[in-house]
Amino acid sequence: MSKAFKISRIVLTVLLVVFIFWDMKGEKISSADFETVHTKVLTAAELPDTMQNADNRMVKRFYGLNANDFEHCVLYSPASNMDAHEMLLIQLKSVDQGAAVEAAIRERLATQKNSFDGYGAEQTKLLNDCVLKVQGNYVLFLVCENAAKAGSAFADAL
Amino acid sequence: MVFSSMFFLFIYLPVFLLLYYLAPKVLKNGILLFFSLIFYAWGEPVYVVLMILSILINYLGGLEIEDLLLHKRRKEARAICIEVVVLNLLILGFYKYYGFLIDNINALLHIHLKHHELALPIGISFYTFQTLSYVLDVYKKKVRAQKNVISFGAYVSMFPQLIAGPIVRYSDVEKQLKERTISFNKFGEGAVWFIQGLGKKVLIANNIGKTFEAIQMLGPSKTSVLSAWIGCFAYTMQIYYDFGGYSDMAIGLGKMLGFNFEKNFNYPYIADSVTDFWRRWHISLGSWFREYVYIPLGGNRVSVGKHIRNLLVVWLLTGLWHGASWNFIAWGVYYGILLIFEKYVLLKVWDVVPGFVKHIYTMFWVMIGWMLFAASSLGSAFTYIGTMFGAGGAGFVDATAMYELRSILVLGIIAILVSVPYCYRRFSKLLFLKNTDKGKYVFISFYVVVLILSIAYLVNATYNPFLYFRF
Repeated sequence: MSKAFKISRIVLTVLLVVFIFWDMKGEKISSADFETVHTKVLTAAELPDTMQNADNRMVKRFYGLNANDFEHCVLYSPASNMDAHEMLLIQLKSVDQGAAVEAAIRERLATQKNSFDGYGAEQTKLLNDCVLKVQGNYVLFLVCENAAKAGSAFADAL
Repeated sequence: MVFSSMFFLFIYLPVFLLLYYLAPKVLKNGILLFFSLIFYAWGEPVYVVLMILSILINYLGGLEIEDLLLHKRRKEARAICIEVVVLNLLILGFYKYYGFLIDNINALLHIHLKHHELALPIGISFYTFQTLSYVLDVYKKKVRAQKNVISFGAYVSMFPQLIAGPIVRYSDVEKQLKERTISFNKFGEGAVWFIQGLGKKVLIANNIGKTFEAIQMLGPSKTSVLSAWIGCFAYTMQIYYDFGGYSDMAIGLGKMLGFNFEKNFNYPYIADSVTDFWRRWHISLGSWFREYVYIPLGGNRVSVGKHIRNLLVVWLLTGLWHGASWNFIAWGVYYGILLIFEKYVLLKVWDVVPGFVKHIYTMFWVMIGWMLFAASSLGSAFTYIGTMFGAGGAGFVDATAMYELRSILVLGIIAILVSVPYCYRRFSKLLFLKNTDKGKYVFISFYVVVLILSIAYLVNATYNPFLYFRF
């Protein structure tokens, strides 16, 4: 009798292990220090001097996101509305937030493209070449000449 | 799903109770299991699979151990017992401590190992401890293995205590799973417990908790000493009424279903020592650790050195059980040290100390302990505790402190009064008047008012889960 119990128990344990592996199918999160990632991305991006570190109200205005909902959030915005440069780096509290953040950024990007469409060829090119990366618990949105290079630095830093 | 939600109160519970009472005795455990799985799946549609697998593995493990013991194959039974216990601990450990472990390895070795973000299955710490107690008790021949998988499933998943305890040991409900009394009187008694718990959670815990939240959000630079102590007091009351309220509701629901669960709290804030506090707070967890960790380690019948080790191990595990974070570990060790100090130093002279001094001493350490517990990290806990002793940037008292004091005053006094037995005794006297018309009306009116007020609060409330859900 105990053999039947044993076999059934082993089968269930295997199912349990399968379940746990299935449960781990999601993206991994990085424990990289936010300031380190921030510095590496910033160095690679070489943002123009006109860019300024914006406050949480700007995050709300640009993306409709509440910066306090995240572990860390930093935004660089241009001094003028005629400038399309922009950098947003977020460390999420939970990877579940990633989809909503990405949707908010895409909406912002569409609005910006729409705004510059037709007269701001230089800005439109920057927006078309932008980098939007959601990697586990980190999100980067970058509109600048060195976006691709900074995007690689971001991936390396995680 | 939470007890203090409109859906639970007006749809889930009435439908369940109707079916449960109408069903013949033989089907009651099946209905209880079915509704408990729905209750769990409501919040954890994925992790209900994990719980079902855990139920089946422990059920089979129990049968296997008993079968081997009957055939005098004790060594094999022991091996299976260890296997099942280790598996239970691995599941709990993996879901609860995997991320914490990787984060600490990263911090220690200055590397950046990535890890998956896993949600903590709700109630896993509670139901794992229940299944562990079952398997160990079957091995120790304290209980017979449950032959009926439905009854065993109903024991593990029983919705009244599934999410936040109390931790019900199988030995306490073994007979009740087979035979229990369901009566109108017991239902009434259960309803009183439930409404009492609902009132504690909704009217006191949720409201007083807002004060702590507001003060915590100020940050150390804007928090005065008085504000910090008001916040600390608010959290001290919030956690008692939140967790105690949940336990009352669980006991009440249990009674409605014909079960008798042990009390989980016994006026912890009247304790006259930290040792006494832990005899009164979360009693089911304390007795679990005593039975399955402290006594097997030798308890107090060993040398002083080993006794101190045993106490520290138990309290380290108690802290760790509450969460994968350094502040919980520190909280556990903090109590371990206090209890060792009391056991070997303080309690020897305790008889000559006036009662109010003992009480102030106890509440001081308990309140400081709650700040370790409430913080999101060890650093923020120390910052908050530092603010309580003048390290903040807003002096001893400021306008915010006076505002918060005025806001909390009435509710704070009510919370203090309800946390001591005096009010309960006065109310019990009223219960004895129940047989008179006047007493009956006062008694019923009181609970109806508490219920109506609680529902009125719930209508406008946002989602407000119990603090102990995260364990």
